[in-house]
Amino acid sequence: MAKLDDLEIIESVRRGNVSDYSLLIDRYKHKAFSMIFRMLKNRMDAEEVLQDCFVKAYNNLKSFKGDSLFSTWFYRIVYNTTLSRIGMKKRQIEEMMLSIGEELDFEDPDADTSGRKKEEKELLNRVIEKLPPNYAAVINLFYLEEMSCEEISVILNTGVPNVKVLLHRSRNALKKLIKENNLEDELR
Amino acid sequence: MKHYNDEFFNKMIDGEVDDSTRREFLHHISECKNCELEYLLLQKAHNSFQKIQIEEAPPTLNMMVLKRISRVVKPSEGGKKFFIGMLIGLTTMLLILFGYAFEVGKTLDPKDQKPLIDFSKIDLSFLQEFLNSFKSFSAVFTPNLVEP
Repeated sequence: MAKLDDLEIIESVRRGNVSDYSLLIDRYKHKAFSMIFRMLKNRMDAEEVLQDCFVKAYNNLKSFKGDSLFSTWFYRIVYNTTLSRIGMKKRQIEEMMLSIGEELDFEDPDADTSGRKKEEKELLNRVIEKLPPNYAAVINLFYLEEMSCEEISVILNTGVPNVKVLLHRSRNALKKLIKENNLEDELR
Repeated sequence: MKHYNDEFFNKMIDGEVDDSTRREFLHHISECKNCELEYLLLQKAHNSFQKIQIEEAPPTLNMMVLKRISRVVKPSEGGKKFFIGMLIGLTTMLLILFGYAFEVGKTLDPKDQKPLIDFSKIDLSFLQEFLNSFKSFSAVFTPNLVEP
């Protein structure tokens, strides 16, 4: 059987084949979950939000006109639903959030004292764990979904320059950690 | 000597630098080890992000979503049926009312200003028959109460 594209699946669901919605879920669930989990930093909450996103998308499927890609439309739901969840726990995560005017800076407390070189993967996880929600969203959409900054700006409802700022700061933060851990030796 | 910064390195990685600027930069880092290192470090950070792992969604997700969707579908179908029932009921009532008004309207004479419903022209003999049958029916059960 030929692989159906998103629009064909949506048409089928609209015609009443509700079980076909599973095809769309399968297509987006892992990447959407990655984004939600990295924004929320909590697996249980991320699982709940992911469910909410797919139910919301289903209920609003009639309003999807096909003017944009389904992925863009769906990730807008994902981003906004996750932000709403964060809003509910704003006090708890307030300290994690950084304003747009600040540089990202992840101190590595045992960079010089441990005597052990951290692996690149370990540093990457350290940065990702600490990324504020909007940065995490940009990193996931850019590197996992391979979206352009223009597409991401539509999802985040912000300007392309803002998206680039978030992307570049995330890279710069990881670069700083790599440098602090003397991994530059491997570059030479 | 002109040195480069992270903003420029990011543009290089994103392919937002024109050919001549790019050539100029590549020539520069062949001579300036510091700029070369900073650029390679950022390139390494970019490559690391490209290896970002996908987090697995829970295996029960499809089932849970489809269950919630079917729960959402049912009440709306019930609401639709209720609305259609109401619509049919209202339409029937309106048809009966219009039908009655049409029948009554036939008996009106527009030249003389008579009341809207002229009961003298309406045949109410069926009511009389109904009352008579009721009288004879009740006489069977309560013979003492019926007039002779």
